[in-house]
Amino acid sequence: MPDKISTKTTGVDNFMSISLQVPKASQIVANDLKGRIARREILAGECLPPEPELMTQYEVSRPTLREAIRILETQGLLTTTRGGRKGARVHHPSSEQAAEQAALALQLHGASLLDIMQLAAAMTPAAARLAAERRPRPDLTTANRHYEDVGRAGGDPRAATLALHRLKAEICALSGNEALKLIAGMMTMIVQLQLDAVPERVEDLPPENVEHWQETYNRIGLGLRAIKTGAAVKAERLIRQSLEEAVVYYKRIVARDPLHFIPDWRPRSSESE
Amino acid sequence: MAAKPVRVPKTAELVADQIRRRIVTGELKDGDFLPPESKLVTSLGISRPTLREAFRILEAENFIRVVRGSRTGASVHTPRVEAASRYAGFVLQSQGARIADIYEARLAFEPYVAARLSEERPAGAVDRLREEILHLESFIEQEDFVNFMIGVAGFHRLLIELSGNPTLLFLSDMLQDIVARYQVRFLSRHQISIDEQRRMGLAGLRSFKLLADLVETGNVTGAEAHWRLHIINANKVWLSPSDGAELVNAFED
Repeated sequence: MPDKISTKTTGVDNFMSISLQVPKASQIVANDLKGRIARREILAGECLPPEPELMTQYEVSRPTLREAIRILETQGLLTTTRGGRKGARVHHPSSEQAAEQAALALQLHGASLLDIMQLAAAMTPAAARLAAERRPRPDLTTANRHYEDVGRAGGDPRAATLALHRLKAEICALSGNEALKLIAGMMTMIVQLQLDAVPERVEDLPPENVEHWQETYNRIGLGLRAIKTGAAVKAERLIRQSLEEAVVYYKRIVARDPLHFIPDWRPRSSESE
Repeated sequence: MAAKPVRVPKTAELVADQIRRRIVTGELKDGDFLPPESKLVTSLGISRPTLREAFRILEAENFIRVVRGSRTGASVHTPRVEAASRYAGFVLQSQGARIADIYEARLAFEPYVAARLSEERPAGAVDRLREEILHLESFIEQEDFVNFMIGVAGFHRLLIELSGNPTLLFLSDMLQDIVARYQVRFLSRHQISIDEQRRMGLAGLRSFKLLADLVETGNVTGAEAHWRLHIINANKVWLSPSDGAELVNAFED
């Protein structure tokens, strides 16, 4: 059974560890290396300088340096090769990796599709408003394509759910807010992992959902139009209403099937990396 | 939406699948050791290079940790919420996210959470909110503003926790992690007098109390509007135009 996320935040630790604790030497080195990677001083695919050089640069012992490298390795920023002739290879922090890590961590803690839908209902309207306010106007080509995909997926609830989610993620990307964009990317990954929760056929959907769907779909279209014309308040309102309706639809689906299992985690489909 | 071509998985992938499933279902727990290589190779009927490749797959996915040269072999290392959260913070920094982005994201979530809480009113929620408020009051009385600040973050977290969305809680913790570091840096730059801190603290508490009242009476629109305003005003304290443009710093200076 998945564990609950611990309810006590490391709030005290957040503040105290920043201001009061003396960091270990390996942490200082790790942080500095992370900074160099973040600032693109070392590029993805490149190697770190060899160990002896780093030891001299930082004036630390080999065990300390190795500990620092291990820290970065567990965080997915480096891979070390056996034999150690080359230095460690750098990977840049990628939002795909972040999304995967988050999705996995959340999956183990019982994150559900309902969570994601509610999150999206909170986040996407605000993103829509921000997108509508941007100057110059954002490019809605991708968003419109996802919107059309939703429409075309009519007979396939899973495809429609995924396409709708991609649309929400795109709206968040258009907001210009990097935090919303990252979060939306994480949510898309989780949705992909949890699609089993959605029925495969339209026939299995609650009839009330099917009845009202066209209205909701149209309203989303109007919301996109409002983003395009820069009508920020209207965009927010339309997207908000549509996504709250989507939450209601989804709750009806879940209510019918109270035994919702966390589906098997599937391996990445892409081979590269 | 083209169908993906069917791909026959490699043996190493199948082995990795099997082990991964055992970890995801909790059969293998964090810290458990997998059987030594020699045993696995025999019981699975595979070659050592295949097993090693399976281990590499799982290690790259942060499911296991292989300690080289160790007699004990691979240990299970489930992706922790904190590790994922830290990595996400790092990505944000790398993408050039500004602190203002983080505050703006929180503004997107929390009023909605307040609305949901007022609508659903889970049992004991209002009591817990009022309890937290009492704690915060005692911090002000003791002029312990460090713990007060921590407690304020805790109050925001409590709201999200009570709303019953673990995903949102995870995200909130992630954002809070970044915000906390920023706030420490901010305070070292801007000195605020004890009187001013007390005044701000008490005003904040009045606002918290009002929220608890609105949740208790089930005033959904009222709670959302009130909390939105609260967060907008609170954000103003932390974000002057120049501060807000500061880049996210995911780790200590």
